Amino acid sequence: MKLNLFGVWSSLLVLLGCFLAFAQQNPATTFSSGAYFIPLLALVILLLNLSGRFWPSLISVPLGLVGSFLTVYRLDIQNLKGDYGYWFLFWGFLFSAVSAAAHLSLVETDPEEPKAQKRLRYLLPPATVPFVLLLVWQALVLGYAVPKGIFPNVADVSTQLTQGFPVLLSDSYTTFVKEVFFGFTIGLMAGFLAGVGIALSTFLQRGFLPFAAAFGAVPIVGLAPVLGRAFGVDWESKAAVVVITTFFPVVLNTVQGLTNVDVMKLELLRAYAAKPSQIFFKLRLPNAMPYIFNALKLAAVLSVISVIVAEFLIPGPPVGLGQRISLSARRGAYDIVFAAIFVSSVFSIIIYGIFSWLERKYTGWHPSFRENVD
Amino acid sequence: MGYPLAFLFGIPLARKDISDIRKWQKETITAQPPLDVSSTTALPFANVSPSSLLIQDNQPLEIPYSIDGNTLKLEEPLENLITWGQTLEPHGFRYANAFSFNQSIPESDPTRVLYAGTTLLQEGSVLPVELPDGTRNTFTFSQAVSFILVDDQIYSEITENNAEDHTTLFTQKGNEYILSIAPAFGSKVRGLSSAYAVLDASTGMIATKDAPPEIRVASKVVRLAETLQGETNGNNHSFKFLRNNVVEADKERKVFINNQALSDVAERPEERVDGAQSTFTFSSELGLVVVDGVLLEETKDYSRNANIITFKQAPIRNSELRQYPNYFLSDPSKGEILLAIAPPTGSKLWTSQYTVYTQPACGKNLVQCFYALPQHPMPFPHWIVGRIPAFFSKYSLNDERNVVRAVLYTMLGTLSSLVLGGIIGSLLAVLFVLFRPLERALLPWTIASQTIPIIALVPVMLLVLGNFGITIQTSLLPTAIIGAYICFFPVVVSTVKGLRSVDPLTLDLMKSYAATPLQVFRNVRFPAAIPFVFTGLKLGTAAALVGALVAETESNNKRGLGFQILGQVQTGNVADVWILLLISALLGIALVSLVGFLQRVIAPWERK
Repeated sequence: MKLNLFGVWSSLLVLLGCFLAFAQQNPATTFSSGAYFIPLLALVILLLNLSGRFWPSLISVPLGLVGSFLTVYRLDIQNLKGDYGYWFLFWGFLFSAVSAAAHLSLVETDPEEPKAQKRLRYLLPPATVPFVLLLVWQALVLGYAVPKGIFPNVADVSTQLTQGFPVLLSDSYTTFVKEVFFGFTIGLMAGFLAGVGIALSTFLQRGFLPFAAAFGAVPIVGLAPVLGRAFGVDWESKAAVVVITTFFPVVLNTVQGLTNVDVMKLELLRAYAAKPSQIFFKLRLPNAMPYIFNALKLAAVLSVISVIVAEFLIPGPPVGLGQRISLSARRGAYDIVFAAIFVSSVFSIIIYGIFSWLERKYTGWHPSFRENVD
Repeated sequence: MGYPLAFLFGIPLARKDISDIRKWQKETITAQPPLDVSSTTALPFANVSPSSLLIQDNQPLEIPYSIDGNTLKLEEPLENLITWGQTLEPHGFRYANAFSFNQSIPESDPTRVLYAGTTLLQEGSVLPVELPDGTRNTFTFSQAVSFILVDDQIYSEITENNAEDHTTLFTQKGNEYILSIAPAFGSKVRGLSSAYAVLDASTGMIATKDAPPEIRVASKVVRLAETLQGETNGNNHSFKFLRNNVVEADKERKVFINNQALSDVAERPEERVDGAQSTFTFSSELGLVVVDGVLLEETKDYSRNANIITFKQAPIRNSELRQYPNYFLSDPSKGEILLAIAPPTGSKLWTSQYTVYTQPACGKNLVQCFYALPQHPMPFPHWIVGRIPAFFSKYSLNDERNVVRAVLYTMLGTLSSLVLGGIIGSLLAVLFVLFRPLERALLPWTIASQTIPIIALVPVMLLVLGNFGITIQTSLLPTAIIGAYICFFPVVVSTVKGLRSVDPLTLDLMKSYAATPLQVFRNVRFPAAIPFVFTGLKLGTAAALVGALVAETESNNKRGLGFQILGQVQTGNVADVWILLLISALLGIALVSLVGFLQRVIAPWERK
């Protein structure tokens, strides 16, 4: 295996940072406050990288992450601003971890590589990224001493997440169960029925489809306040927003899926004297399923975003994640804002995951699921 | 399509307006002043019934009289029939029929009594069926009107004499009145249906039907009051107003027993109603005890020891416990009141002023109420079309709020987000294709990034960028970042798909020619990817437009469609909101076709 040169340089950067910190007499980073393990850790990472083997390089990834975490942590507990020493230490450790991970996943593979090792190499990059993102966020906010009212740090957000969990959960109930679920179900059913109707009639295809496309282009930002006027400021108007955001993708995709049928198959069924209902259930509907699932995945994510936009623009009773975000942002409590955003993202990823799973289960026969060869 | 939607959205609102009694018209019934005060023995009134009661200074007058039609014949002449107050000043040459108090007056005051000479002036104006929208100049009134009042201006009927020196005129056709100048959107249009109406409350100006030489205020005058229905036999507590649907929270309601005023002010207990406490102290020793609007009976529900009340069963926590020392409006819909002390035999229970709900303010039936909705959530398409000329000419081109400028500003924001998002998206896609592990590492996170509601991050982002001196007022960068955040995703996904959609045989061919990776990219992958990139860009355009609108709604500069939409929503002009929504939809479609045009220019070989 080739040597990870970036990793070597990064650990040297950490050592340089230690000397800088010593010179600057910063209590956060000097040896005098007992931080002997920092240069020790850097030396260990340097040796691991110099070995040029798989397992030592793999171990250096978590070690680098731990090193940068400790750097940030020590700055935090001593309540200081970052100096050169701090930045050298932090970026040095982080680069050593990132470069080791990248090196391991990019390097030429040995064909007789053990299966476990291959799997680890495959999982390494996606596993490293979240830690890197969180560490960079925390390091920047703490290092530049950004006030909480401008940008919160990870620790503040997680505190709000644990402390305010019951509140956030009840907000999620309003947003996801009352508004998204209700609106999504109605929009899905109405959209599917409308799509079937349009696909079966040429008249509707000519008359309704351009209109639907144009109405779908109306931005939800403007539509939300109008719906708020029509349905009141409580959850009904937000559910109406979800109905509209769900309806149009489902209609367009259903029509496309039902009409975009292979002519050869259609003629085959005709040659077998199949009834129109048989053509519909045996050919058109299965053909439309992947399209509909595509629309569902799209609409699920879109409807979560638009319901939060709606809660932003239709101020009603102070329940729901969007209201929580909007009210907290107005009084500068951005830690609550990020906690609520986190909860809403987690929920929409879960919804997206459920639909992907269903899609794989029910339309797994479709060519798009075949292993594509690059 | 728009018409059924208009009914679908509007009818529930109209139904709410009809069924909610708090949205009904109110009428205040006061003791009537005499219609003419020239005679001190014969007093004509608008409406006389045998149970009426003559009062002066809130005291019943004990003088014998006989009733002759609607005139009271007094047996002896009445002294102090009327005390005159201020004399109103005529407005001057512009309006012959306007008079001024020379001080601000309440908009509507049921106790205000004006006489022209000795004749009573009745106040009254009617609202038109239509609402002024800035372009409409024809209004329909339910009854004939003598003048039309628009804010503080009087429109008079056109004649041969005034046609040249007046600008505010109207012509009448049946019950349609055509005004010479269309009133501005949101202005107050009324028709003068009675003798006078308040023109401008702040300067104390009134408009009268005729132009009498002198108008005086009656500061005190003999009046005819209503008595309450019910027997005064010493043990009857229950009485009834002549009219139903009495307004419950009415501080001006005045009820008297003989010359003693009664009040419906409730006393609160000194103790908290916490569910356990059953003994409460009030300030007076007598009164009706009510819990959450339900009257309780003494001895059965509670026992009284002077001002201390002990309940048999403690009232539930936070219930509303009140004591009414005088009277309690037990059933407002039937106009029933209960008195704490039964009035003694022969005493008179009367009212000089109370307010009732008369009818739904919006109209007699659902259709009328639908048309009278102040803000239709979905106006009829022809209303929207009719609004278009006024909408486009509202602001001049020099004004920042001009709609053409707003469209250009939003378009600029959308295009800059599209450029930024396109560059970021295609760079990411190239990196993903070059380094497979990078795709594995970052693709789940780009998907996750799209589940973050960007509107929530806009305030944070504006704050952070503001710290670097970049504000949405001076720079397109914040808009571009917000738009790019939304629109880079479809570009990434399509471009990756496009770069991978290369025929494997072509790749093998390039390999056998010993082409460098750069050459493979330039000659094979990029041309193959172009249709996919443009598909992504087309999807991204709609998203970028939404991003630009979101950024504008969250900022406070007056430019851009997003701000205009929000502004019109706040002023309540829904027709304008719909015009703006249509404009932004058209803008989205236009930008998508612009991208399609670019595609044909850049990749002409694809045209079929």
